[in-house]
Amino acid sequence: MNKHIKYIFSFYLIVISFAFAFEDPLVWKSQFLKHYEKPLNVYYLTGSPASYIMYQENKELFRLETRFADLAYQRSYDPRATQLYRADFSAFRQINERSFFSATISYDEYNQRDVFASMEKDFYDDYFSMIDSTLGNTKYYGPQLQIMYNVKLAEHLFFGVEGNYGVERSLKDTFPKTITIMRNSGYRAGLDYRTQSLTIGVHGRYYDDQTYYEAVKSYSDVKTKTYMGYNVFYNELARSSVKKKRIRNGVEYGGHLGFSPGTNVSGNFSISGLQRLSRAERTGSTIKPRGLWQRKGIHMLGNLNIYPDGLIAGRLYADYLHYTDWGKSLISNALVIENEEMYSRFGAMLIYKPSMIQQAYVGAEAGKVAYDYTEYVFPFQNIRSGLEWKLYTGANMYLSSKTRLIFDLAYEHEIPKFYWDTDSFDNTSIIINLEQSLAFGYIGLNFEYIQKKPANNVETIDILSCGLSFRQK
Amino acid sequence: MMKIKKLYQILPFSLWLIMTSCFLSESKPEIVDGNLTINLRFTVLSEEDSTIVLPVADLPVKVYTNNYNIPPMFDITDDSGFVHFEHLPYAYYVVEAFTIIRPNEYEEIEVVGAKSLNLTVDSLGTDIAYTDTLLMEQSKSGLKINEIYTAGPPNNIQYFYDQFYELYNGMSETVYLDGMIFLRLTWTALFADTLSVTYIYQFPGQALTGREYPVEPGEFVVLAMNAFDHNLIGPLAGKTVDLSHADWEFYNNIEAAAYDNPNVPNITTNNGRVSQSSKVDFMVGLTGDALALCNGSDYDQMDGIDINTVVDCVEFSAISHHRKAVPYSIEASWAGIGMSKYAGQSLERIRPGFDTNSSGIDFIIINAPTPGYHHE
Repeated sequence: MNKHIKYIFSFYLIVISFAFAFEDPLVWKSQFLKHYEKPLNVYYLTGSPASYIMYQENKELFRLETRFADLAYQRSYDPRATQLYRADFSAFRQINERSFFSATISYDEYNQRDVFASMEKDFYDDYFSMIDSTLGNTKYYGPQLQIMYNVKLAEHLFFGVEGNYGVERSLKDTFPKTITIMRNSGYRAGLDYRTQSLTIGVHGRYYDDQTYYEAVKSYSDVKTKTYMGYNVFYNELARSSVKKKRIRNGVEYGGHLGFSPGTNVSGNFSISGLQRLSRAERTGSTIKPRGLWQRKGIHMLGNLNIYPDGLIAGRLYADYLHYTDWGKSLISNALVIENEEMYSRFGAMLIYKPSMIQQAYVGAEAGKVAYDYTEYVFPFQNIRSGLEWKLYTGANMYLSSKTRLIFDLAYEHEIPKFYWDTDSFDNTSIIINLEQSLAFGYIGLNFEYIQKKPANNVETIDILSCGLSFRQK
Repeated sequence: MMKIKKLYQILPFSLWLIMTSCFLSESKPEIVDGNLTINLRFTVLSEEDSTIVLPVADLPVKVYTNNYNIPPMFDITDDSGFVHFEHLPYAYYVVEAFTIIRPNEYEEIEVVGAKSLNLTVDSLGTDIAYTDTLLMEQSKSGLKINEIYTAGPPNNIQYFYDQFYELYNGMSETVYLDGMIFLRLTWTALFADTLSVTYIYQFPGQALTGREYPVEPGEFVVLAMNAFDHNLIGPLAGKTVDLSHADWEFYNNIEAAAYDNPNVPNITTNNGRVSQSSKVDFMVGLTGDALALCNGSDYDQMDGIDINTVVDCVEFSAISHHRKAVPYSIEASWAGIGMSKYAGQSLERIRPGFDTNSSGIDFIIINAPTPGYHHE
């Protein structure tokens, strides 16, 4: 059973990691609430491939997923609705006693409906986003490949490396049309010294994202504008074809420490430095640089697992992320944007585990967020902060000897950034996973529903996900 | 031993990852955009003594940029003629000031102070203040090319045959179009004394002395490429202009099956007096070209048209780095920067007949053509 649980871990990890291949997030999203059946491994905090757990057998996984989002409440350049279709196949291979290899290949199709003007997949993800004179539906599609290698170099010494590579194309199916080609690669490496009671390691990540855009309006002009932040835009020269290139590079580097002095208590702590540089330019017969922005930050997180042999276990966790941005216009070579953000949270989870295979949990977390955003081209400043909190519960139970049910329920209060035009969101989410054991493997049905309700509007954002997975026994 | 060796190979890699962060670092600029100040002083020559300049007080001044979506700024000069605009981004600006000066009870003088300012880092460097004195000039009154509509209506069938030009008589006297020529220009040396010509069309009548085709003071005259109601073309219905009542229509005598509205008099070419090799109608570049109205005393284009015969000239281009085509002596800049094709946009003077011989200042882009009248 222990191996069974580990295998479920690996399944989630792979899914989580490849999902990031097209959009490199600033930080690894820690999974504090996952895998409550046992103490949390340091991998869930850092994503270091050296901390990945090796398996003694070969396996394959296959998964289909769809995700629909209805954005009745939306920002100016958000799509009205989105649809995601994804298929992926993962293979795990034990090369020898000391090394392990996994590979995942996937194919995505992501549709955005009724996108107003934005040439970007996510307009709000960059300070120098471009819009054109389009309104229509955009289709993004492409394959992604992820590989991971993990080796035990010496007694207690582990090394892991992971690479992601994705190529994505898009087409806005209207007149005029916008074409995007995105090539994205990311690499992680880690080195762990691991004993029974202590883990010390370093980890690093580098990613490179190159995106080419071309807006074409046959017979007439496409009117493009480059935003300098979220309020002021620079009017590009109207012409029948406009090309843009965005280059984004980032690194994350740090160290982590894990301890397990006794059998009941264990903990992990990680600290990382973050850095990102993003540059946007109009291309064509002459290159016209438009903007450059830099982000630097620090991310600290840790958890404490208290898992005695009895029925009750507990987990405490904390997370702190702080970063500062500045952006300069490459038209004026002057500072145009400054931004500072801070997120902190502290959480506690209580787990009831009547058996190795059945658990239930309840927990809460709270934290502070603070945003300080300034634009200089036309003076604008927004400072806001607030308390975010979340209540959650869930269970992992066997309905019969071959049918397993996992469910999670959460209610969350979120403080969004100013461009959402609301003071807060109240989010409700429910996740139901049903897994059936068959003679040839496991078939899983996954269902997830999230509703985000803004404080000042009756319209909501609704996200519905459905998945079908098969994994070998 | 082998394992230690592997470790030595891995450690430099880890260090490299950390070092990479240094290469991803850029220095934060010291200059902040949006901190620019424009200090302007408006002056006018004294009526009594033209060697003396006087400050213009209480003058409404407008400063705007087409680079950004920031609103135009307005202010009024103080007693010393000074006005200040603060917290501006680096950009190209247009300054406009207009007023009517009354030197005595029975006289009014229309004066303008206008200038295009290149206030980018390339021109200003690290300075955050720009100071200038603008001498206000009287707008040159006369027969002017007042509107140029060439960019086409909103459509995706490449339709631009609704082009027209509008003349305006800003004089206090009647002027006569007899024998005048209307030109499409090609590149001319910027200090030349003759103009190179692509198209040449001529009004009927005797140049200079003819009195058959008058234009009254304050009157608009519409010259249409094709004088019919272009809204009758299905996809253009409601999007373009009715030119069936234009005052004049261009007509090339050697164009096969050329459209000719019998109710509208023609401005002609290849008519026995002026000639051109082109067999097409008076079609010009949608968002870039140069036009001239000349008095017709020189109509032999083989050796160029004498620059002294020019009544008015306008150069326009949507491109800010456009290669200038017309000598500075008759046109100091060009209009239409940022104009779009097939969007129904038109170029018109900011006031009827407003002319400083710098079209970049005199003209603005309007969102719909206004044949025979001026925009609001």
